[in-house]
Amino acid sequence: MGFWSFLRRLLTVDDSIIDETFSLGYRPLGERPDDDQWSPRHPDDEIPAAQAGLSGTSDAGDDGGKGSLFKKPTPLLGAKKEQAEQMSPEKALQQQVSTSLDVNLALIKTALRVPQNKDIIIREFVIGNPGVRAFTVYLEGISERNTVNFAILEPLMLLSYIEGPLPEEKNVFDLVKDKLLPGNQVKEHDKIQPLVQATLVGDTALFIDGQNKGLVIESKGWDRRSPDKPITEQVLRGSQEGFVETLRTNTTLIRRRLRTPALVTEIVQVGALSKVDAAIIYIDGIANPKLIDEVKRRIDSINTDFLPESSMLEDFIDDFPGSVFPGGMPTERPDRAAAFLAEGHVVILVDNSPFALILPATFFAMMHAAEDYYVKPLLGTFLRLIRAVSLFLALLAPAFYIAIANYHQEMIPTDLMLSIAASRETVPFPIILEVLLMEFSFELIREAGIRIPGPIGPTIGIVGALILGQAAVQASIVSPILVIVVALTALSSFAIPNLNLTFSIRVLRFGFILAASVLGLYGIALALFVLIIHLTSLKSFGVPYMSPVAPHRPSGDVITRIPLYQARRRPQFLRPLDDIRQGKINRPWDPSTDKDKKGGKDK
Amino acid sequence: MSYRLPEGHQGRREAFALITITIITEIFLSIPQKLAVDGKSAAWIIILIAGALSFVGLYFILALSRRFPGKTIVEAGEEAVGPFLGTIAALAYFIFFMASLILFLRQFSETIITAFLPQTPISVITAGFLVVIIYSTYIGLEAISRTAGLLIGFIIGSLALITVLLIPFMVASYNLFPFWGSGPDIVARLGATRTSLFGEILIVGLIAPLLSGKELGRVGITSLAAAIGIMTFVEVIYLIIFPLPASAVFTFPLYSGARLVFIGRFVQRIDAIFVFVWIITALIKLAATMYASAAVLARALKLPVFRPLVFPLGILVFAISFTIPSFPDAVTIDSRYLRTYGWIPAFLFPALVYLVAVLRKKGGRGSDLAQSNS
Repeated sequence: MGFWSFLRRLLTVDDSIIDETFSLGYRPLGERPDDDQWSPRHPDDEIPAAQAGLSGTSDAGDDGGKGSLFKKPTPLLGAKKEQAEQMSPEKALQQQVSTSLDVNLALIKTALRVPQNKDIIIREFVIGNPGVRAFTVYLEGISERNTVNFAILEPLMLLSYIEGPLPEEKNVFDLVKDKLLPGNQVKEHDKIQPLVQATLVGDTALFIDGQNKGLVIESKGWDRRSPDKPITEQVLRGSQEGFVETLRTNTTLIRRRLRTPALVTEIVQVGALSKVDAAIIYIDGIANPKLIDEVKRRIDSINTDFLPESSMLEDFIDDFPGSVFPGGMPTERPDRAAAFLAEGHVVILVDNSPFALILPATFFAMMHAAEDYYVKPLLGTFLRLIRAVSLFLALLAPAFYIAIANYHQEMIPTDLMLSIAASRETVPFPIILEVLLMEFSFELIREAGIRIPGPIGPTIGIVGALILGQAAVQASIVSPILVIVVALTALSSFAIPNLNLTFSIRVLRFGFILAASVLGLYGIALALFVLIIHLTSLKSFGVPYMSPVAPHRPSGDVITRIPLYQARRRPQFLRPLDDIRQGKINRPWDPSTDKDKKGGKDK
Repeated sequence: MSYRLPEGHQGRREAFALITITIITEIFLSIPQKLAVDGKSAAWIIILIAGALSFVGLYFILALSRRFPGKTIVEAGEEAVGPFLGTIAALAYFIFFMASLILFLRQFSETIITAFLPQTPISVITAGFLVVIIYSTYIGLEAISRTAGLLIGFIIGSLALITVLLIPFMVASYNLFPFWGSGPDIVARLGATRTSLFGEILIVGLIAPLLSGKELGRVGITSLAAAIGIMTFVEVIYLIIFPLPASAVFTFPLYSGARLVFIGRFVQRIDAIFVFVWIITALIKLAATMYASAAVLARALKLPVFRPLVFPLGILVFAISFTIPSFPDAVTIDSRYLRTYGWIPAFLFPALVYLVAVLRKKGGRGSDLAQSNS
């Protein structure tokens, strides 16, 4: 800005800022219905109001006024088409398929917002010899091009000549459906709504002139990720497949592992705006029917507009939204989902989510990893012991450090105490501030490490963890022993296999830090007791969260991992319909097989 | 009229853990020392005799529960001896539980000060305990007993560990002699009154509706037996480690034992770890007695819920626990009154109620039918 224009600005009144304001505006008062009566509405749902316009039926000669004295004048075809073009999209969706192809075209265009909507492809053509006009509707990108070209358009346009001349008008539809469409899934509908809905998931809709029905031909096919390694639950030994975003691929991944007709995949649609498919998977005859019904009941009762992820489904159906603990067990591994199904759990898959939700959730199952079962029993037990220790470290290590350094110095051996005291001598902060500072920076590194774009992520990790830690110690802001404690805590929290549980423990840790800084070990004991009482009071889908330990159910699969041939029964806390998993003697050739001991242990 | 407070499920193992822990927690306080003063080297025999006699009391509680199935001792009492006397019995139970709660809370708060936080005012400690207990009681009996079931392994494990660590100090097994201590007659008389040590077994009568009759009997007998075993064991160890003149002076015998532990230079002051476990044990006991007080009162007052009573009772407990002038007074009241006359509400009342019920032919199968008809 030059000097003169600056002066001019000072001397002129400029209120143009008011003119430029853009606002989305406010909804006029009173327009919004009462909150209690409101339910999420698909924008295309029919508005419940008396509506004039096209009569629902398609035949020109038919009308609604049967008993009335005056016959309603039948609109001419041209008028009908015009009406369809001017109709609101939601009304167009409610219409019947008309016998007139032009009216149908107009209805489809109105409903799908053509020509603004460029994803929609409408192809008009002629079938057969004397020539019947027809058109197909499909969506660019989610319908497979080859299917549309070679399994729909080609037979209709070219191969229809093989049949010879077309029959009379009323038989054309059956001919097309039975002889001319080689697609593996073909359905007929006589309303606009299902036809449009089908095109939205990738199928192709076909309309033929003179027919008051439309056809839906399966042509789904879009770019999808093929099963890849799971990111959050990796194993050294065992299956390396993970779920992907496509529901059907995921159900296949489970079904490939459980080849039984008893594996049931029920699909329900959730959400009013976008009907998202959710699959409820269970094994009929093993899973408790009451559990299945409860899961279905809760999912059916979801009354929302859009559900992009299975973790959001968890929000709607879990038992204790107020608790920090996860109400469902997410897993990315089809083998783990299959194993839980075989025990009698229910698994929920949501379209577009690579995480299955296992229900009901129990604490100890979340402390287990798939790998425990893929190594020898003793080694599996060892892994679990390490994890149990890591759980306590992740939860309590900083709190214990504070308590001991602040209140109970006599607990530590003198030499160690001296070295702690020496290392803390130059640190100007009280211990609690030091710990909070370190814990906070650690959480910061973790959070930033996830959000930072891929290539620089590891760099930030190194910068944050190494350089920051080293510099902080050298600058005497934190003591080196505390760095060890925090690093140990961080490592331990990563040893917990379930991502959601790790998160809960991370948050709870701060509670323990506070308790320890106020009341020392006594505070930790109080907080721990509250935590345990809370855990034992939780129930997920009627199953106590701490099963099978509290309440006690005999099981060798908690901290220890008994050999699989001894695990004769399915988890009893699930109350499966059939709780026997295998025969009593699985190693008959083994001379050490003790018939009495087997099965007796978990009886 | 039969109403049930919503108390959730109760497993056999969880109930066992709850009752055992509620009884044995007493040994963390000065009881082993008081017994040593009274019974000399035969202090452990007092526990055995008292325990054996408690089984008689337990028999009546169980018999009462079996005679009035689906009812707690409170409602059974009202049906057996009428609303007036029944309410008096219920009040006696209530006072017993409250006294146990208050005295234990006061003494254990003092333990915490000695062991952990010497400069903290006692009101902070007691308030901390009460907040947690009130929270737990609000959550309910189910969670408390499941917590007990979850932790009993750790608790018994800690006692076993301390025993193992104290083996180097168990050199004087002759401390257990003379066998009859202060004399068979005194030991026997003390044994009779010290049944009050096991008064908390009364909880069996409160959880009766949640378990079947057979399970209840098993729970009562096993938990009482386990409690007797553990307490006798601890007393014996205590007497062996500390010869008589010494064992009569420690205020917190078990804590004094834990402080002795010394294995090499590294493992020398691990008493804090034990006290840590004991705090959690004590919390279970406190929550259980708090629940028992609230539930007995709610049932005696015919309230459909006990939760509204919990907070006021907590305030009451807080206030009363500070009316005791000093820690030695609390110890004296505990030993001289609660654990001497506690058997009257805990064992005598249920027995009397049962006998009256038998005499008046109340309860049993006949009255059950009559009730379902009415």
